Amino acid sequence: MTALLEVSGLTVRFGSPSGEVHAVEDVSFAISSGESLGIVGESGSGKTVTCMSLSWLLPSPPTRYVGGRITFKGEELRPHQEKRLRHIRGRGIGMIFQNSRLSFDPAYRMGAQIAEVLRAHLPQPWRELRPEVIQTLQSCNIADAEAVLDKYPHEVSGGVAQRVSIALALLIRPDLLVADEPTTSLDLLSQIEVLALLEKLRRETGLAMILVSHDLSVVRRIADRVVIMYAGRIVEQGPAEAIFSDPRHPYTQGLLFSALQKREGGRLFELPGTPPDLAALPSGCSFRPRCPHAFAACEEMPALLPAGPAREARCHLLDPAARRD
Amino acid sequence: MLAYTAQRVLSIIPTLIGVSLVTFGLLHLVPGGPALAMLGMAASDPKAVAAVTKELGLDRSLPEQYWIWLKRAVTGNFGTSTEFHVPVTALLFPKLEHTLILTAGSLFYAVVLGLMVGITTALYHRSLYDRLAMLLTLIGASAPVFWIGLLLIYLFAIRLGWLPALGMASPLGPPTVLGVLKHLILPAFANSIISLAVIARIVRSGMMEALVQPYILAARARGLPRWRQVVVHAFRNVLPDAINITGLQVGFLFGGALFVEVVFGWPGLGYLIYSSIQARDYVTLQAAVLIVSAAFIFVNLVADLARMALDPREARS
Repeated sequence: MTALLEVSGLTVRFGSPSGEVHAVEDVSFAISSGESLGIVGESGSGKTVTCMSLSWLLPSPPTRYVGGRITFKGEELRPHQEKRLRHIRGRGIGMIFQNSRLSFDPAYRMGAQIAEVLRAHLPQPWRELRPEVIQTLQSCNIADAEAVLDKYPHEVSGGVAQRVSIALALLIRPDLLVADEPTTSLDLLSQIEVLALLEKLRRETGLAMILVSHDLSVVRRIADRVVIMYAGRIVEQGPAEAIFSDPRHPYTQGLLFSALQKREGGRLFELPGTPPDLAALPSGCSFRPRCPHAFAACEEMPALLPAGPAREARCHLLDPAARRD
Repeated sequence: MLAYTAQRVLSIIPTLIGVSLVTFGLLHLVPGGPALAMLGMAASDPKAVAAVTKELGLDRSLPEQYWIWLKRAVTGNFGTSTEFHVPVTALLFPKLEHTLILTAGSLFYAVVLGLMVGITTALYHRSLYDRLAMLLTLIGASAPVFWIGLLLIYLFAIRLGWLPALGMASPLGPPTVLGVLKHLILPAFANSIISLAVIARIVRSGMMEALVQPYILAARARGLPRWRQVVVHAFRNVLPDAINITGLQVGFLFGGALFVEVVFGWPGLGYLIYSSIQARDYVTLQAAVLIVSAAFIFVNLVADLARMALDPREARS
């Protein structure tokens, strides 16, 4: 089966006063139709930039697309081809952002903004689409859908705005839905609702989905496969079940261990140290300064090594030839 | 909005009274008094001076003179021009119309070019175009208007011969609308430069701020075409500021037109004031200054009310 979306060697950088920021380095992964992929990492791990780069969304300049090939439905997408990319964005790859209230223009009512996006992609006039819009909003648990259309973004809650933006993404029927931290800016109750909505969508529509989060429990509920990112690189990827039950990279182990400790109410486990400055990465493995197992071989950046069925991890511990001692 | 309008309209009455006092006083500030000034060379004859003083009513008390002058001014009687020997009113109102045409032309340039420069420099900010445009607006806004005017005349009228240098219409044949528009290009542009620069800079900074808002990235992610991101979303959020700053420029452009008229020989109020001063025609000067002040107050009032009506934030409060 060919992949719906294939990313290979994606490398994205930004200029900054303190040097060039290596936001994403040599990231490769694929997602098939109907699959859901979770991308996990701390802030600054490159997960958001990776998502935004799937349709070359970030304006360049200042963003520098250094390398990488993105193939979507068999077609190679290239940066700067705005005319072509416009039809991929929204229609092929739908996106949901962290703060949905801010993703709507404060100067227009929600209904007008929905109509505008639909008009850009669909041939039917708003009059014909309106019943479907109402229905989709309702299926996204917005009870007073009619009233919401007449409201300005500042008049709705963050949870409602997030559900409207999910409904809007769905209305254009994308092949792939990318949700970047969709629950992070919401209160606990809205988080649960939005998560349940995404789960329902997964179950009922079989829509391919990329879910970006720093929250493992969120990813665990939805993702079939997981990509763990650290300092702009993939450090581990594989089936969700396998990674959650048996993490192979020390960073993944640290992440899972801290989440586990939290659940059991014990003393919080902390990964020592902080993620590195992306403008001044340490030599060798980026995780080396924080890694409890670091040894001589880690002075060189490890490659992604096989770590089980359909699994890879970027760690010298997996290389028998590089064993310590 | 209604209460504000009423308050704003009523507030111009004390301003107008103040202006009338100053313009009335103007005549009495002339060294030697108005009679001497009017007679010029003939002022050596004391009898002539006394006759003119009596004829003009200058032997009465100042408040009495002011009251008579004001009563006449309100009915539109500003006396007779000592230079042209016609009623000042007949002289003034056509000139006021010409000045308003120049003001409107300047406003057109300031708004159209200001928005164009502001939006495009924000889109290509830090580019060579942006730096050049910002440098030019800075120079344009800092240079005195008569110098800019002379440069424009030298370049476009004398060197290139594309546009007429002076006046409002061709002296040959009757004036045509097209002819007036052609004569309007240089003076209106010269007058608009400072306002153009102000509008361009405000719009540029507003657009730069708006273009990096999350809703623009979201609009992009939802597949909206670039022009919609820029015009429908980013510019819409800059519009209230743009209207605000434009409203403030209207009065400024009206005032600037008076200077530009002298450089370009535009037959408006500014030119009339200039020639009245040269001819020591104080009756005309007095009336012209009063009309200019009243028009300035009125233009500002209209701009202010238009701004209120168009700015949704102001209207809501």
